[in-house]
Amino acid sequence: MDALDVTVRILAVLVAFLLLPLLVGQTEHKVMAHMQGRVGPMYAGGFHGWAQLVADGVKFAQKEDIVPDGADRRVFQLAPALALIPYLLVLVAIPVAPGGGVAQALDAGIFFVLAVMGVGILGSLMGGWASANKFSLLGGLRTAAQLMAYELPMLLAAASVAMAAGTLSLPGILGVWEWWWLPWQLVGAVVFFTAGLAELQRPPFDAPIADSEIIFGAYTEYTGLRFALFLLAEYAGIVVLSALTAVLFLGGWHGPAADGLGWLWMLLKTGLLAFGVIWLRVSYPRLREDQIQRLAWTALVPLALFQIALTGVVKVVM
Amino acid sequence: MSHAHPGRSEGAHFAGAPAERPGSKRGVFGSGLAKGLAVTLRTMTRRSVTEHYPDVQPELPPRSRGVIGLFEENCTVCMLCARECPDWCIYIDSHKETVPPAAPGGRERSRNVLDRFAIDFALCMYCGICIEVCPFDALFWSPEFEYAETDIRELTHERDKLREWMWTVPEPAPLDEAAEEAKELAAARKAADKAAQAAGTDMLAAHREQPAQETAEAPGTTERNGTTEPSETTRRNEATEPKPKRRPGQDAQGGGTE
Repeated sequence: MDALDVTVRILAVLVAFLLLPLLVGQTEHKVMAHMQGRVGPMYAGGFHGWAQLVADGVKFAQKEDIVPDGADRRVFQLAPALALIPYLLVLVAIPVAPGGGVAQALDAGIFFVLAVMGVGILGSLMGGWASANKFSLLGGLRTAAQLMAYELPMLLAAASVAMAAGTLSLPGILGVWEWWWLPWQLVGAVVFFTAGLAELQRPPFDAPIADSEIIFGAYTEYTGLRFALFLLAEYAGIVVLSALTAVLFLGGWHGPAADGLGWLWMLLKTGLLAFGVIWLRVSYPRLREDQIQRLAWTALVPLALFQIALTGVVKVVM
Repeated sequence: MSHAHPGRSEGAHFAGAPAERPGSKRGVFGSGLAKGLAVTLRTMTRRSVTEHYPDVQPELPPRSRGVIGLFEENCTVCMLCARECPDWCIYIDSHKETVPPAAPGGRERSRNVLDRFAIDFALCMYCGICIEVCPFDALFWSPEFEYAETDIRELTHERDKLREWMWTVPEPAPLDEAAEEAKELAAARKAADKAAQAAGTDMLAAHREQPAQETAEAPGTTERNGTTEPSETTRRNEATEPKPKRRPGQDAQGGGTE
């Protein structure tokens, strides 16, 4: 692996990291609008508001960067970076095409990916604690509670796939993937995706943000670019979650003509899942804090354990 | 769930209620969730209901209360509108003129001449009482609504502007086939017949003297009837004033939508 190769791979990851979240964001604008009988942005960029997020970015960049008086300055300023960068790191380990179509193949890929994704949540916790604002603190605490509850079923569901494949490496999992894993790991897929949604604090699990009750949770005191970074982190999180779900449960680049078009299959599956994220947001109301906890402990954890048992049984029988 | 918190029985009951519902009444578990997804997906495939207003003119119903137009040829300065207006937003100035006798030996007549007719649309509450109360059909609703100003004082619109809005007043809905002839048409025909009977060489001059209310016509009806037209309306048709730029509802279709 020479320097040029590394540079190209890093650049590709960076471009994907900067482009895909914007694409998801624009899709959300449009899909959400049409699901509500509206048309969404129509003017920015001229054609159906394609440049709306660019305009938003310009607007955010122009705004004053404010740090509240009582805030823990360094922590407050560092939080958006900590929320965003982990998703960039995760993208490095996600395989997009067969035969080395991954920026960096890691032997313990699942561990790396899930651990780093968990770090991203720390950004919200830091912001919530350092803002010196009661709404931020409430949001931060809710984030913490949600992280505690949903990290477990997410890990269990991922562990089920690792058991089935007999490897922790993401390219390795895709290497042994078969189509009948779809029904076999279906329960795990649902658990993983749902728990991922909750970790991203996406509706209907957006109680930590809940603008109608606690302003904007941990992000209440943020303005300008730092606020934009938090938003970007949310959409980068959608991309990463969708890509991970596609790799672990939907077979990633597997599909007809996978040798040439593997990356397209991967993108397609990721895109469909991202659409699902948006769809769920539009369709369901926000869960209450106690409902969120109940769903995690009484539904998702038992389901994940059931999936692991099922995986184990099938593995032993075969 | 509800048994776990005997102390907060009411709240706990509330929290426990939704969990029991799906199995007992609403059929299969999760069917409500699926229905929710179906609704949003179906809405997405349908056409959006958004009005693309600045790009596409809205299709307004013909009786829209957009602005009040003044057909000043019909106004006799009777002041009824100004007096009935609940918030006194109509300003009328006039003076009296003496008209020479129509026939030699007759006596002079006096009539009111309108000097100023203005409506302050910052005060107007669009109740339409002035239009209802006008006995001479001089005031009309127009669906035109794009007359916002940057200064509230500029919302007092004078007679020329009000007269211009008359061109945007839509044609009244056609009468039923079997309906009686409209009163305005009957009056106009009667006047025309009378004039024809007189058959005097000075017919036109005689007409000019007739009070406006006899020949009053709702705008737009003149094109449809073939009777001899009273001078008032003839003047109106030949007027060089600009045609209405746009009639709401005509060009409000297609384009710009998704």
